[in-house]
Parts: sequence; C-alpha cells; structure tokens
Amino acid sequence: MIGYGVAASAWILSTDLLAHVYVPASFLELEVFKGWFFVLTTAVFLKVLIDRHIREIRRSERRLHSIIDCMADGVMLVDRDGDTIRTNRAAVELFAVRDAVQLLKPFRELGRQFDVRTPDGLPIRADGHVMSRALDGETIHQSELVVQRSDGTHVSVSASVAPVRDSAEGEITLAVAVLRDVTEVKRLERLRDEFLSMAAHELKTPITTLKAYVQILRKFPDAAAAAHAEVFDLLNRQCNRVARLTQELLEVSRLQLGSLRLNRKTFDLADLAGEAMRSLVGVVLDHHLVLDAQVGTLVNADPERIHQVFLNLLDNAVKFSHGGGDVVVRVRQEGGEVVASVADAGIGIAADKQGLLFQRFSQAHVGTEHDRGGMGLGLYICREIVSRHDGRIWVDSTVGRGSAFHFCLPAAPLDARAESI
Amino acid sequence: MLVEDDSDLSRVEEFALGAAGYRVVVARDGRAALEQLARERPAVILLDMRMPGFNGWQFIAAFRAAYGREIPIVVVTAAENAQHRAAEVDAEDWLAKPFEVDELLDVVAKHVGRGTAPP
Repeated sequence: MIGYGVAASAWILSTDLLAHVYVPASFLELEVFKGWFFVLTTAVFLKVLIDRHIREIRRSERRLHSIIDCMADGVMLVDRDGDTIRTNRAAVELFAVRDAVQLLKPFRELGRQFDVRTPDGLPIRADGHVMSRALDGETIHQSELVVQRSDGTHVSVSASVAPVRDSAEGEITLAVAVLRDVTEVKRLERLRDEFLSMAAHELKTPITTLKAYVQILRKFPDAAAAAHAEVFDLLNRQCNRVARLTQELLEVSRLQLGSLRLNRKTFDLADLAGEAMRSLVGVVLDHHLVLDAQVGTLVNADPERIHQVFLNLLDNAVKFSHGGGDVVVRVRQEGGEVVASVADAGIGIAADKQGLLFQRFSQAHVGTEHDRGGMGLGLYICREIVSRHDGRIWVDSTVGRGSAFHFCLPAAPLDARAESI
Repeated sequence: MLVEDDSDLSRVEEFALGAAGYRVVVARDGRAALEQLARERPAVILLDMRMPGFNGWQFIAAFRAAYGREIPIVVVTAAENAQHRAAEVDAEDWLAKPFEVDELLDVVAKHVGRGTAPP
C-alpha cells in the first residue's frame, strides 16, 4: 500500500513537472485527465486488494468450517445465553438426528431431549452441567455422560468442554465442547471387568482342592500317606490347572500387546498331538482318546504353544461331550499344510454361535444348561497362536451330533528333520 | 452325599470326610444324585452349585418337591457371598470356596442328625 502511495506520488509529481515543461498550454486538461486516471487506477487497485483479502478470509473461514465439520469427534459451540450456535457432522451422527439444525437449540433443552445422564443413571444437575461450568470459566476434561437417542439406543459420551475467550484475559464469549463416542470403549471395559471376576471365580475351585489336600496331609497324615501317589497326582494336576488359568490371563494381555514371541522348532505334529493326549490320561476318565495320524507330518512351529492349542481343543471336546465317548484327533498332510482335527460326539454348537467362537470372551454355551464356566478365552488364544504361525483354525459342528475343530500349519520344508521337543 | 462334578475336588472332600469317619457317596450331577437318593438317604447333602447340565438350582427344586426338608442341604459355592447364595436357593447352610478342611467337617457335623427323616 505504501509502495503504491509512493509510486503514485512520484508519478504525479514527475508528470506534472514534464507537462509543465513540455506542454504548458494543455496543463489543465492534462491534470484533469491525470486526476481521473489516478482515481480509476487507485479504485481498481483497492478493489483487487480488497477482493483478495475477502477471498482469503472466506477461504480461511471455509477451512475452519471444514476442519470443524470433518473432525472425527462431535463439536458443539454454545454462546453466553446457552444457545447452541454451531455443531458438526460427527455430533449429528452421535445424536442420530437428521441434520445439524436439530441440534441448534439451548443446551439445556438438548439435555432434556436426549435424557442426558451420568454413567450411574443420575440426571445432570443444572449447575453441574459441563456447559454451564465452561461458560463460567472452567475447563473440563473427559466428563462421561450417557445420551439416549431418538431410536432408544444409548451412547456413552466423553465430553471435554472449554471456555472461549477472544483474547488472553478477555471475556468468555462461547463454550466449545468436544464429544467423543466411547460406547465401544466402555463395552470392552465392562467385558474386561467381567473377565477378571470370572477368572477369580474360576481360580477358586482348584485353589480349594489344593488347600484342602494340603490340610488333609497335616490333619490325617496316616490316611494321606497310604494314598500318597494319588494325592501327589492330584496336587500336581490342580497346580497345573491354576498355572493354566493364570497363563491364560497373561496370554490375553500379552497377545493384546502383540509381544507374543514364538520359539520355533521343527517337529512332528502327530507326535505333539500324542503327547498332549497322553498328558490327559488320568484326568479324562469317561472318554476314549484316539489318535489317527499319518507319518511325516513335520511343521516348523513353537511346540509349547501348539501343545497349548491341542490341550485347549481336547479340553473343550471332553467338556462338551459329557457321558463319555470318543475324542478323535487326526493329523495329516494336505498340500503344503499339515492339518490337525479334534473331533467329539458331544452337544455341538449352534450355527449362529459358530461365527463368534474364536472371539475373546465369547462362550457358545454361556447361560445355557451346558455352561461350564471357564473364561471363554481358550479358542481366542488358539486362534491367535495359529494365526501367528500363518495357519488357520475353523470348526464344523452340528447341534446334538458333535464338533470337529480343525487347524492347519504350513508344512516344514521337505528336507527338514525333526528336532527333539 | 456329595453332588460334585469336579472329580479332584470331590475326591478331596471324600477323603477328608472318610478320614473323619463318615461314609461318603458321590454323585456327578443333579440327576445322578436324585437317582442315588431313591436308593439311599444320606444324612447331609453337599451340593456344588456350578455344575453343567442338571445344575444346583434344578436339583434343589426337584429335591424339595420330592423330599421337602428331610435332608439338610449345604451349598458349596465360589460365589462372592455364599450366605446370600444359600438364602437364594433356600438351603440349610453354605460352604464358601476355598474352604478350610475344618470348615467342611464342622458344617457336616452340624447337620448330621438334623434332618426330619428318622435316624
């Protein structure tokens, strides 16, 4: 602008001087022309400048609007009177309303309309409302609320609200709230809490047995001594059970963190299957465990983990086919893979539950008369282990007829030799 | 009579009670227990609540219908509040897991000879 002023003045003065020197007769006409020309040029110049600035401002505004609108979390802007003056797409989705206009109401009215409550189900007190507090100058982080949408569904929301001042110590003109849908997070938290209490519950039984036996050893030493082999086996088994349960707990959290390390060895999968089955003799009293295996089913995998997978599947097969019967384990080569199956003739799994089987905490029989307790982690862990080995696990099952769980692992290269496990 | 599906736990209860002088009969689930009751009436029933199939609740219902309060029932449970559980199912007494062997022997001793059936 200053540059323009300087240039214009210089131009005016220099042309005046030249005109005065060379064409003094038409000086006046020249001056009028110059004046007109100068005004026009300045006007054009100013218009261009102003237009550009206006465009910049508009662009800035649009970008800000886009930013607010595109934010993954819901945004609500509330003025001093409590009216909602701005909201965004995420907020519209959160509240499941038709469009943003539906939310441009006083926040108290919105609170009533959506029955906003604390997670404990208590209604929000007028003075305790996060918006009021923000308008009074308080910044609130992650206040949890429950919102009821028009279709009846409930959403858990984490609200962070702050006052907006136009300068550092200026007056508070607005409150801005960022709303995050934490329904899924809360659901997982609830699952985890359930899981932890189930785990504690599960541990009580083997601990009861261990404790009782140890006390028997002291209280009835003669009777215990007479049956000491049996007592020893029993104590050992129960310790293993406790160890397995706590291991399951650890596994789940480790799997979560992705820090499960595999100690791979080359071994015969059929041998490992046999070992797993042998370890259950004495525990499995009513069932007949059968191994049907081909020769030369070598894989390169972590034997301890795959042993765990077998134990889990065998355990399930036995648990869900009470009344005894056969549990058949098959191991064979198919293409470049080794496939193992554990089949029982038990109660089977309903088709609509099969899809959920391998997920964490899911139990196909929970709440039914076949509920065996347990933590619903076994199959989840099996799947994680198998997929870390680049294998697959799946199930065939018919209610009332039985289930067959299959998993496959890549076969070891042809020239591989089995290591001792 | 023990109604317990976990073989190791039933073995330890049987052991302790046997060593203390009681004669023990074990049933693996509610149905087997009812069948056994038809043959012989024990002095006390120790009932595990968390069994698959015919569970503790169903057993008690069937038992009360057939035998009323002839034989005292002690529920064995890992529930947070064992006493509450016993009240819920209207059992005579409770034993919370994990229990002391002495607690097991005491609760049995307390109820032996307390039922309404003739001794």
